[in-house]
Amino acid sequence: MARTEPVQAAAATQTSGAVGLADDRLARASVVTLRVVMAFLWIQNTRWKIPPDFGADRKDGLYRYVEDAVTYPVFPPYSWLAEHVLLPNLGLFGWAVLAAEATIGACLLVGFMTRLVGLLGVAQAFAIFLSVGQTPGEWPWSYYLMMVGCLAVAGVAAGRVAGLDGVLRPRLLQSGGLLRRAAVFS
Amino acid sequence: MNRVGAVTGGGTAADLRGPLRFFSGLAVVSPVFSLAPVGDAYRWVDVSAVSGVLVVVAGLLGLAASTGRQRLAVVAGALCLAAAVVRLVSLALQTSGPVGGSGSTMTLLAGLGLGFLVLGLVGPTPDPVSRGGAGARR
Repeated sequence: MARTEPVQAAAATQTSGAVGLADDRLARASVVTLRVVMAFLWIQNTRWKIPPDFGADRKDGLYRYVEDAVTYPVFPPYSWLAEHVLLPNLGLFGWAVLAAEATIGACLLVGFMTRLVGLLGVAQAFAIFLSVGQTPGEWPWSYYLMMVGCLAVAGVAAGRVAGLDGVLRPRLLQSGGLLRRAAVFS
Repeated sequence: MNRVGAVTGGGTAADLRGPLRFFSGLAVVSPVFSLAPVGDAYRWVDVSAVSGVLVVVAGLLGLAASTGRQRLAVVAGALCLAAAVVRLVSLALQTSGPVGGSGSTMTLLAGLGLGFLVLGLVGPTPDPVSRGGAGARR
């Protein structure tokens, strides 16, 4: 009797469809693929954010994206912010954007603090949507998909599969204080 | 062997081998993007000749680290991170610099550098009893 119980339990689990994602090879592969492709999305985004003027001279690049927030407003308060704060300080803003997107791309690539970085990706994709969501020729769903992709990466904690989070999380949970609390981001 | 997963292959913990091999694979394969047509559709990252050699060397060091020489991952990570810093300085100075490529090259190198360095420096695997206890369901 004792020997059959685990088998029955496993069968019951399978028939109820409650197999854990961590035990499903295809699910794990999908999670890794999602994370790495999202990483390359952000990595590619860092190639055309070129300091020091970030496209201001050529009216291109990041400059054009921020200008579109003014020309084709999605959310008027953001347009005001873009016109009066971001464009006059594009040098500083550009470095901040480059730093944020490089951080997102690099951390997603190796699955480091994936929950935190995934949420940062959602925020950054939302900011891009606020800039160009109404620009002619842009496809707003691109930005919805970017947000949802980053949300999925954060939600499933994609860094725990073939990533640093899978290595660091058990160690963080065993430590004390702030390090242990940092595990919530992994 | 007082730690689970402890040392297999002379120095690399079992739970590090998978990520090490995965990052090494990414590093070795990434120069393929340099063969793709220029443009956003296929070229997901700019890999110059120098950065291509760097990431392949880092990938091979990572593979060696996965077979038991964990410290080689530190070398791979330091190599990539140093190249990322050089690329960052070149960006600020508006030159292509010795590494070449673009901001995407810097991001790729920074990511791989972070990954290899952490895997090279991380300590022993925690006890599975503790791992399955507090926080395991979070």
